[in-house]
Amino acid sequence: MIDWHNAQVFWALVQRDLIMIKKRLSSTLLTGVIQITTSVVLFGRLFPTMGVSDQLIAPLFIGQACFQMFFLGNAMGFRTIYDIKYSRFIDYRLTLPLPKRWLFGATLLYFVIETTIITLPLLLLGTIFLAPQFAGAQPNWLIFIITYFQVLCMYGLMFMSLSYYYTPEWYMNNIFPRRLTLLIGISPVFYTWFKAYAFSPNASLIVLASPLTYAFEGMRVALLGGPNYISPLYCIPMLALFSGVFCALLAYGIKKRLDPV
Amino acid sequence: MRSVWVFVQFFLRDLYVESKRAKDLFLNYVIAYPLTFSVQTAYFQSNTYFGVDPLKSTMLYTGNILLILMLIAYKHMANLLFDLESNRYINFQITVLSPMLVVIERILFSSVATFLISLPFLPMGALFFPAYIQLAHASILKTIIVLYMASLCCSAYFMLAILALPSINDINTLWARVNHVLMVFGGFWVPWMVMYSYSPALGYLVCLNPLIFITEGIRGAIVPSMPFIPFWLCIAALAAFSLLFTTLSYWLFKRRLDCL
Repeated sequence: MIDWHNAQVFWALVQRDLIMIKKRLSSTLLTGVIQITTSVVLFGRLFPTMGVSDQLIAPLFIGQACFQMFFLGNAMGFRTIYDIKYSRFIDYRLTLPLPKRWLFGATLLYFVIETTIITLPLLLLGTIFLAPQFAGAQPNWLIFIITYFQVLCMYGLMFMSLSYYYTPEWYMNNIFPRRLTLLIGISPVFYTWFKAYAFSPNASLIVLASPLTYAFEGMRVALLGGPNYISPLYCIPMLALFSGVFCALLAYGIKKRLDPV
Repeated sequence: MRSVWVFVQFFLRDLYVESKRAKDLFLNYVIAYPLTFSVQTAYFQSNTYFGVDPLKSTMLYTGNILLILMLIAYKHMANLLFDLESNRYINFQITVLSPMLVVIERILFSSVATFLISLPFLPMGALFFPAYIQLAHASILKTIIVLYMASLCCSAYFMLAILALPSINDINTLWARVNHVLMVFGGFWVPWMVMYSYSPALGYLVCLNPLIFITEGIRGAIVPSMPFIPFWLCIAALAAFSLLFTTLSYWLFKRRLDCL
């Protein structure tokens, strides 16, 4: 049963966040436009000139767009760390008459809304610019919507959990080389899993250990369809599983970092 | 003479602080980054794009050093931005050393540290994947020269960028809007010749990007059998960009800190 008092405070927080999004909208959209334009030129024009197969362009572009969402999560992680170490706005939020679960739910919702506003139109715009490469695509919009929001939730939970779990100093110096680059290194952001499997069946099994694999492949199969990507029947449950793991890590991290008792 | 002594003391102090992070730097830049970049780029990416071709694997992996150089130089210079918004240790520095020498000391220290930390990146990649990253034909002398010049240019660039940023909150914007574009058109993946053959206008335009001379210079030193921008042209361009960025940094530094 929903506690209406909690829902009211939660809604007030979401409204405040929406105002923030509105204020920063033009700036964040400009950043998104710059990045998508760069990606279109890189993948749509320069990669084929370099000799990369035309069939790989659409999956690479989707991988890059998904990677951009990852970096927006990374930016949120750094904002959280900055807040924990310097501004401590979280102290005020903790005094609000709202359980922590709702409070961090509002933060996650803010991330999902902001990232959707930035990336969704640009992802769709990119598919228009790269229309010849997307010509044979068979998108499944229902699976796309499910996967898209699952990916955003997983990224949000991942970066929130990491920023609360580790100390700010360790996070700022080591999170990228020791955790994130490892995750990126063994995930098919700039290639497809089946291509890697065809080249090296044993090494490609390691790629399945990274949560990002299911994010990239899930988005590809939803937008492009066909048998060349990992099936959504695996991607959706795996994304849910990893989200659960990050959720547990976040709960532990919040207790560790914010609960003085 | 006194200024030289203070300059050396500041340099040694920075070196001492850096040495305290030696273990982290070793794990991050000698093990973690070379391993993950070689897996991603030289092993999976190159082989799925071009089939087994060690030359192209080496070429792709070599471009990754750009990100390493940028990250290390950024870490050194970002300290200045944090300092400007908190302790302002810089205020003490400019009372004992002229602003010009403070700027030069910071850039020089960052360039030396960036050079030393990034030096193992290429050999470690070759150690992890000897069949795909081949340094047999590399010129060691040319690699060292271009790597130092690249470190100097990146350090001067980040000094300028950090001084131009209004606050810490704008760091993400710098990376997303400026550095990302500079890296994509700076040869991180695609060499200059490919850009030029796609569009000569684009080829000439990217010559305004200092990062293209870093990747072309390093690739030319590592894979001499492929066509890249001539080595000495890359060195001259990097020296010119370093000088330009240092001069602009000094001008911004004076504007931001020197009230006289």
